[in-house]
Amino acid sequence: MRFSLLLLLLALTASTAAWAQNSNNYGSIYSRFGLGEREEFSSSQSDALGGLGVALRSAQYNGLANPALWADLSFTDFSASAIVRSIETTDGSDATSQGGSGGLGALELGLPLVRDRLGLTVAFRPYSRVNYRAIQDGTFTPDEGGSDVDFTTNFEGEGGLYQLSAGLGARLTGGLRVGASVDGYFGNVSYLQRTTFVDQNYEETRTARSARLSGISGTVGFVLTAPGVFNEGDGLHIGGAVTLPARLSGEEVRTLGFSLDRDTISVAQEGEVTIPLVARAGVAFTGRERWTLAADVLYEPWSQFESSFAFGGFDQDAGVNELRDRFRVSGGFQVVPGGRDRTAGFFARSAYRLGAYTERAFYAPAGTGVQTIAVTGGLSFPTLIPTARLDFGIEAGVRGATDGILVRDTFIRGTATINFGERWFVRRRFG
Amino acid sequence: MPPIRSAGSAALLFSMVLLLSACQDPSGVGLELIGEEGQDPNVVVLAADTVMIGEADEITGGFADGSSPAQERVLVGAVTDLLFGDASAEAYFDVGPPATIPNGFRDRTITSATLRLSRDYVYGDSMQTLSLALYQMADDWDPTGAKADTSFEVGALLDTFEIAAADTLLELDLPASWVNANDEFLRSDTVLTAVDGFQLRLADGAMTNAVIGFAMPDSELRLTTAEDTVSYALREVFTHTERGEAPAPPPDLLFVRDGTPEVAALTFDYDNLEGLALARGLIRLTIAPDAVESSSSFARPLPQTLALFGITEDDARFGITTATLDEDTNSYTFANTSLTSILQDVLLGNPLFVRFEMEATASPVSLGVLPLVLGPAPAEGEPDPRPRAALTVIPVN
Repeated sequence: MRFSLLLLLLALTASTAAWAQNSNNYGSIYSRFGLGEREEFSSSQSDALGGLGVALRSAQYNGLANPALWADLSFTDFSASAIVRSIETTDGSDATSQGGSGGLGALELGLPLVRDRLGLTVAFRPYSRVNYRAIQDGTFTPDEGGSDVDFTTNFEGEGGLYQLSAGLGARLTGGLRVGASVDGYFGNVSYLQRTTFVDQNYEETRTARSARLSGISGTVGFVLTAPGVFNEGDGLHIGGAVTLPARLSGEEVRTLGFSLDRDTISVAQEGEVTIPLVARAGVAFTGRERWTLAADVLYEPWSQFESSFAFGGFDQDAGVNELRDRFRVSGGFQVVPGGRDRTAGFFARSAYRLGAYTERAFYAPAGTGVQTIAVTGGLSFPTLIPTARLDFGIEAGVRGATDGILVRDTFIRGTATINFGERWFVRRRFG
Repeated sequence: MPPIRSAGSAALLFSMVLLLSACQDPSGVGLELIGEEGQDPNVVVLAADTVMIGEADEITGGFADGSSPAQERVLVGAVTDLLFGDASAEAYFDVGPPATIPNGFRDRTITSATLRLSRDYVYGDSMQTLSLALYQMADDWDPTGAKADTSFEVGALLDTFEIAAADTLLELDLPASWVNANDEFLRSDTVLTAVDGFQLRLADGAMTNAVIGFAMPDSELRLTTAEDTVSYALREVFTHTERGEAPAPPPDLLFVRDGTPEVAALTFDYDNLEGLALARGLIRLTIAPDAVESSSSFARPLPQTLALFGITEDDARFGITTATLDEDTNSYTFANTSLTSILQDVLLGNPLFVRFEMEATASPVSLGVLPLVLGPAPAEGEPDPRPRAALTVIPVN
């Protein structure tokens, strides 16, 4: 059985990788701003409920949005997700471009140190992603009046930050759970400019400005649970988590040429970047494992972003700052028709999820805010292992508007996640 | 339905959806959000910071059969040139058998031998008659790397000839005594070492005012027997040249005389261009043909092809590319990928060379004069006539 699940995971990973190779691997042009498009992933369950799940306690999912949730670990929990994205961007002249990308999402391993009381979790997930491309065609006049020369300039961004977290969640009292984690950030944000010519007498040029960053922060969180609010078995949960601002250090290098033949234009310059805190709060209601409701808010004061390096929308030396605070509100519900009944049919034991969120982006190009509205949904299928589930999620939404220099992204995102739980360190009994 | 099979089917469906998805490359949508104005390629014309006469070995020896180093021409004659200095030239060449020889040729006696020289060059008065003397070489000689001021030892005078500079084919019959003396060697396998070749020069005391050049790949030593005729190639060639002093050139011109060690040496000041990406780099020279033209029948052919060299700090010399004369614009343009790469390295602060040098290509040897335009600086909007680099640069974001 475990082998079958492993095969499923491999199939998903392979197909995602193949899709990513077939696609152009480009996403939103808005990913140019700051350190890239922010990524949110707590669990495949919360992902389908709008996104966060700060207060979303679950016996089967180990949410990453709040370390206090790790206190609920009953099994050694492992999850891995694959993500694919497709995006269509439209500007004010109704011109469109399409992009697609894919890859691995989050990896998470949770260990119950004391079952249902103290849990340890290690997680790896993307924090931000830069993957845009825009093309500019033009002509220029060569020296001494020759015929105009056509050129195409490709502006590309790639990279992003990853977050590696390790922490503990503990149940202090029957209704209070707290948690803390250490979060390491690392990654590379690169802006590339590639100019090509039809005329073979001109060489393609490729310049890149790359900032390599790393740093450490920490997250603390809590979940308060009030059981039996309406009926026996119900639970009302209120949670909150704060990730402290992180001071990242790094270096910026400008290069010319291709990956294996790059010349350094300027030597590495060291600098620092401060990413803002992340404050999350949420409420969730679980009704006898049949119904689950969740709502969350998120706040990131990107207006306090600091950097000695220039990024899209931010250049301290040039006095450019188009970043602003980010807000996100999300909510969703889940129904499992069969509840905890293990004898119910396959579809009765499957979970059906629907959610939505709206977000004010942390950037405002030319002073104009960018709003995202999206709906989410998902299915969770049981397997022969009661503690293992295969989840599929989908998210569709619209970001921005065709207003001034802004563009409208219409995006769809799919996730597939293996959630696998198993008892480890159980002493075998004889007789 | 078994749960794992259902989940597996769903995973399979998910995978198929992914693989069937199609994507289209992005376009200029959202370009204004990038905010990278002013990133268009533009051409920066950089007039040479210094232009001067440099010196480099004038190599005139080589091989006319395609071997390296190549030399396709020999010169012979003398001119009196008040503008660019008197010049004289002596030609050396050796013979080699063809790849295939008719059956029985080696067994038959050679009855006559004729040098057939194809003229392709005249410097000086093309109406002149030249008295030429043909000597046989005294010993073996090697043209490889031979400089223009080299002399090889010559042997006996074979004959003298009166030829017109305007003739395009000269047929010089070798004396019967030479034919008889070399008959067996010419038909043997040791011809390359046993026959040492010839020197052709102005006869002692002869006066003329022309230097003529022969295209050696098109020239031959024709050997005749009673039954057949075989053409031997003139493969090892060398020209000894001498050139006198010349008066200073007029202002805004620089004369670079071939047949001498003179080269044009250029440097550029790349300030304010550091760190730029380079899509194309070229070096262009404009010449003033009027400066070397004569109203009479005295011809001074312009060098048709120039070679560009990069000179390192320790004076090592590396060939970069060549440029042919554009007679419409009276200019030579050096441009290739190597030059772009070299100039890019300069902009990145890693210069390989400290200066560039230009001269007429070593082959075919000539006595042409390169009348380089040094100025004046152009008026606003006018093309720059000075030696210059044109750099198509792209600002870096």
